[in-house]
This record gives sequence, structure tokens and C-alpha cells, in this order.
Amino acid sequence: MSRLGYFFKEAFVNFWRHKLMSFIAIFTVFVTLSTLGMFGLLLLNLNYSLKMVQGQVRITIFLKSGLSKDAIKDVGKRLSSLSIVKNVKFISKDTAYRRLQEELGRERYILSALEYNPLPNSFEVKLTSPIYASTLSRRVLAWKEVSEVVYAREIVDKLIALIGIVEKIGVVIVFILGLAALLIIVNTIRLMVLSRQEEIEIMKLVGATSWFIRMPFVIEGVFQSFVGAVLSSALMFYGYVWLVKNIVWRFPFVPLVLDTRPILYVIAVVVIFGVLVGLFGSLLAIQKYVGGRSFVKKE
Amino acid sequence: MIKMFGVTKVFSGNIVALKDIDLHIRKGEFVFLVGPTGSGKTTLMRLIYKDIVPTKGQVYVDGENLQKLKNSHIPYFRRDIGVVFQDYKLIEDKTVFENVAFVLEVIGVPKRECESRVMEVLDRVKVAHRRYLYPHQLSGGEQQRVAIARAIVKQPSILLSDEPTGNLDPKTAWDIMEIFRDINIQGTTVLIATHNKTIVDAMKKRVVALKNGSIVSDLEEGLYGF
Repeated sequence: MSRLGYFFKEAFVNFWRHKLMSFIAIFTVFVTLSTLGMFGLLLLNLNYSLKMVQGQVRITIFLKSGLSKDAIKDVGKRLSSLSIVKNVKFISKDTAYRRLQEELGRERYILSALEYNPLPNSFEVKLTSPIYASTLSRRVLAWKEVSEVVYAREIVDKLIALIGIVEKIGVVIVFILGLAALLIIVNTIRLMVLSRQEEIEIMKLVGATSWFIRMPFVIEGVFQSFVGAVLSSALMFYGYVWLVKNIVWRFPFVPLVLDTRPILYVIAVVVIFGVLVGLFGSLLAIQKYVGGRSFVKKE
Repeated sequence: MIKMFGVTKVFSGNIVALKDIDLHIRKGEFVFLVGPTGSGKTTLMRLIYKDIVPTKGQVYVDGENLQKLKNSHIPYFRRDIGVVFQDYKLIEDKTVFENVAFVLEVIGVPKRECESRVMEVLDRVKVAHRRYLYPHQLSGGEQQRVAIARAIVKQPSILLSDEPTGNLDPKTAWDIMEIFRDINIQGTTVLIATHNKTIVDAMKKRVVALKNGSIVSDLEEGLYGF
């Protein structure tokens, strides 16, 4: 217990004595983790917007004319039973005609040239994911009741490609930023260790074990990373709240994640990452100077 | 207590610091190590606390072959050896008290006992009144005393001291020697490297003389000379 007390006392006394160094370390962690976290939030929102757009992709299935009510119902049932289908909506030829009239507005007189309603009955289908659009299209075209399937093929294809690219780039960038954070933190702690190399040397000469020398540094490193991480999570949280407040009403078409749970999740991951980096970073940084081999000089 | 067999130390750059040294220091002995600068006194001492290893030969301390001593056991081994370094090696941002107390903290001496032992030893080397100061606020002689206090506070069975009187006036130098003699009387083996002829001649102890890395003389109740 008294040992533990000594380690904490040493860590905080050193932290306070080397204020500038401590401040630089905290600031470095803060900047690095904030960058990482902001990118995480950006990725979260980008993914969210894509999911939103994805949910709006519709497929229209036109039916042949002259089908009985039962036949139409049967098609609806079959569509609903497919696992890739989220929901199915029947658009009768009358509804379609009314919609067209509304869409034409003033030009609706064009329709009066026709003596009958040329529009077919149709189903509007939303899928669980747009990647199934072509599968569904091929499958349904084989049904004898179906005359045509229409969907925004190009948009859907681009959207699918975009989601893939964003996910891949996201993973790569998070990895690179994470590695950069680790290296920067390791380097900061190493500078701290270097500035106290003489002290470490003396500790070794008077009989301190590697762990005894290591502990205060590790506690200090973890503490600094923790403070940096807490500051950066505060910036991320309040910064995000501010951004949402100021963007949502000005640009209502930008879909932002408004639920705090995924935001807190990103922040928690960043804080845990920061503390772990502080722990392993300080162990890594100090190993060369306090490891067993360093006790005997190679001269 | 300390035995060296055919010890040779060659530093990088082919600098031969010690050549074929055979030395035996018994438990409880008081030995002066003399010789010109660069004769290998410091190197010999560093071999004893395994700060460096010999290029050739064997070093035994308290029956332990240092070549076989595992790295992880070095800290425990060093706890029984007090070293007063030539350049003191005090920690600059610790006070006098902390510099000495920290050695006991390393060994795990309880805090209360630690305090009384540190005060006792600071009193003995006459720097107790300076306990709240930092090393840079002390004179050379005072720093040396703190370094000695740090070496003896853990009551080691071997005390190594490199030029302990180099920066001291004759009166203080004698005070320090008295401290070493007391420690020796209590059973600690003492090895002192020095250039102080007056003290060596007056103390009438064993004198080992080094020159160019070799032992040139080894006399009981010897005089300063090489």
C-alpha cells in the first residue's frame, strides 16, 4: 500500500514539477484524440446520411393489364414474403393517374387528350438494402403478372459503391490516425523520460527494480492521456451539440445523427483508446531505459 | 567479500582500462585505492556493482559470481552496496531529504522508520539543517555529504567511494573519513579511491595502487604512492 502511495505521489509530484512538459503531453493527446474523434464523428454522420438515402431507394413493379383482383393480391403477398423486401405498397392505376395529374399541375390538360387511363397497376417496394435491387428486378421479371421493373439503377449502383469506398477509407484513416496518435504519445512520453534519464540512472544504481522506476512514469503517462482524452471528449461532445444546433435549422436537408448514444459511443471509444495508448505508450517509451538489459552498461 | 580473478576491461575504441587484475578484499576491510587519473580506479569500482562487466576474468562479490547474476537480480544485489559517486549523482529536483529518503523507499522501508533513519544519517554528515534545500543550493562539500548520507543510509555491507574528499577542506575531509571509519568499525567493508595523500598516510590502512590498469603495489598499513 505504501508502495502504491509512493508511486502516485512520485507521479503527481513529477507531473507538477515538470508542468510545461506535462502540459505539452496533455495538449498533444488532446489534439491527436480530437482529430481522431472528429473524424470518427464525421464517419458516423456520413454513414448515417448514406443509410438515410439508402432507405429511400424505391423499386416500382408494373403489372400487366387485365389481371384479376386476386392475382394482384397474390403478387403483393409474394413480394411481402421476400426477406429482402422491407415494405410493399400497392398503387392502383387510378392512384397513379391522380398522382400524374398532380405532378403535371397546369399541364394536366395533356391528359384530357386521352380517352382512357393508360397507366398500369403497380407495386412500390422498399428494400432492406439497395444492393438487392438488381436481384429483385431479375426475379420479379420472371413472374407472368409483371410487365416491367423500374428503379434508379445508376443512383443505386453509385450509392452502393460510395458506401463501400467510405467504409474502406474510413477504416484506413482511423487506422492511420490511431497509429499517429500512438506514435505521438510514445514520443512525448519518451521526451519526458529522456529529460529524466539521469534520475532513472541513479535509481538503477541505488537498487531500484525496473518496475519501481517504471510505475510513476506509467501512472503519469496514463494520467496525462486521461486528462487529454477527457478534454478532447468534452470538446467533441459540446462541439457536436453546438454544430447540430447551428446546422440543423439552417440546413435541414443535411441529415445529422441527433441521437446522443452513437456520439457517446464514439467518444467512449476515443477515451478508452487514449488511456490505453497512454498505458502502452509509456511502457514502450520507457522500456529501453529501464528494461533489465539497461542495468549493465555496454561500454 | 570482493574477489577479482584475471579481470581485464577493454572499453570500445580499444581502450584498456584494467589489465589482468587479481584482487581480494576481505569482509570488514578498509582499503584505499590510489593511482594517477586514468589508472582504472573508477572502472574497478564500477565492476564491483556490475555497472559494467569485465571483458575477461571473473568478479565475485559476497560469494556471488557477477557474470552469472541475472539482470533482474541486479537491483537487489546493489541494495547491499553503497556507492558515493565522484560526481555525486544527486537528483536535482529532489530536496536533500528526498534524495536520501528515496533510497529507503526503493528498498521498501516503512515511511516512519524512513524519516528517522534519514534524519539520523543527515545529522551524522552534518547537513540536517540543509534538508529542505535542493542540490544546486548546496556547496560542493555539502553535496558530497548528501551523497555519502545516501550511500550509508541503507547500512550496506560494502561501501565504495570515488574521490570522497576531492572538494573538501582538510577539516571536513577528516570528518568524512571519521564517518567512513565508524561505518567500517560497524562491519561494513570500505573501498575508497582517493588522491588525498595526507589522509592515506595517516590512516594506516591497506593501500592498493593502480597504474595504467595494473596493480603495482598492495600493502597493509601502506602509504600513498604508486
